[in-house]
Amino acid sequence: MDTSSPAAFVNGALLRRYIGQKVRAVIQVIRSDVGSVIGKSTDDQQIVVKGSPQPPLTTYLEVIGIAETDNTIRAEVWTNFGDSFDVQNYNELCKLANGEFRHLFI
Amino acid sequence: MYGGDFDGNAAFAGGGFMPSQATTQAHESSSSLKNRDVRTLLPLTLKQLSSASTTGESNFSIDGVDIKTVVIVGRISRMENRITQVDFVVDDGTGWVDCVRWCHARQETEEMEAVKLGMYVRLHGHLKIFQGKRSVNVFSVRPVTDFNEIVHHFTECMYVHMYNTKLRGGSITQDTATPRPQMPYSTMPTPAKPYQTGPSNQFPNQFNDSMHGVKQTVLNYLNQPMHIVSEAGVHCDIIARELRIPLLQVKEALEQLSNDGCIYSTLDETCFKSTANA
Repeated sequence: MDTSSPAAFVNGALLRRYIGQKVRAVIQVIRSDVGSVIGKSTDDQQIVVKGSPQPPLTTYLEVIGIAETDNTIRAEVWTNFGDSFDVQNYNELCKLANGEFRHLFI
Repeated sequence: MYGGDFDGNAAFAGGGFMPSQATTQAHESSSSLKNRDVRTLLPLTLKQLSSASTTGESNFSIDGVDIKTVVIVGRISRMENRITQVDFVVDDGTGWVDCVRWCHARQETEEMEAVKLGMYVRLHGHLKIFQGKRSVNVFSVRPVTDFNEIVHHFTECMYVHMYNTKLRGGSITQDTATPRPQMPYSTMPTPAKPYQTGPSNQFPNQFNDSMHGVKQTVLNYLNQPMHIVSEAGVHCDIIARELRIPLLQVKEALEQLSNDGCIYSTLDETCFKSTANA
């Protein structure tokens, strides 16, 4: 077992804390371009995810990858999270996992 | 406040599989906790799992709780089917761990066939250590179909961590400041977990003005297995104290519940028992 390269739960605001590091975020897909997906983070910020996921994409998409800038993630893993997903809960989880309970996560 | 020479502690001491009244109302003694902890199903992040302290090959503990069976939710990042087992790696974002699922029966093989590389799964298993390397011996793997389950799992990890570090081992001040989501409110027939999420939801009822809320709360209390198996029932003073509801309201609720046929009085008009079957 190994915990040396965790992927931090992030929303749009938390992304900038992890530039150059591994993150995970759930986005609501706005549109899919060639080589990138534009989406909305769980705190309503626009995020560009670089990479080419396998279509079809559901409304919500989890991406795991490297935070490149404060609004770009280079994705390594894409997972469809379906069409009904509670973004508020996820957003609160992001805050707790980077705040009071950070030591349980990273 | 006890009526007559009724001894509540003595009456409940023989209450079958539940800890006695004495241990539940006080800060629970370590022996009764120990007994229940042996069977815990503990939701953990892999970061927590890797930081769990160990004394030997399979004795782990975290936050003062022995780890027996763990619940992990994560993504399968590697997978290898062998003849008698499936070896795979689960990554929950906080770390990864090697897992083994032995497949002997057909049901076990079928369960593993439903699991594919890249899937999110919820798994139950035992933490093992071999030559300093930690792994999980899995006995249940289920694909996650509703992804809110992932959020729920991590929220539960935080809750249980907080429960075990703050609420249970906490000081008196913390204890009185927050409602204790502990034993006294258990409605579950098998209290295998050291924490219980359900009961705390019922606490808001306790200061509810409407008699209905108080009645329901009192009934839930009397429906706990340990009270159902008790011959003598529960004294109204104890109910009032345990539920922190004024005695007058409790008595009124008891009378109404009694009229409704939900409970009946036992030794005298102050001790009550639910009519529900255990």
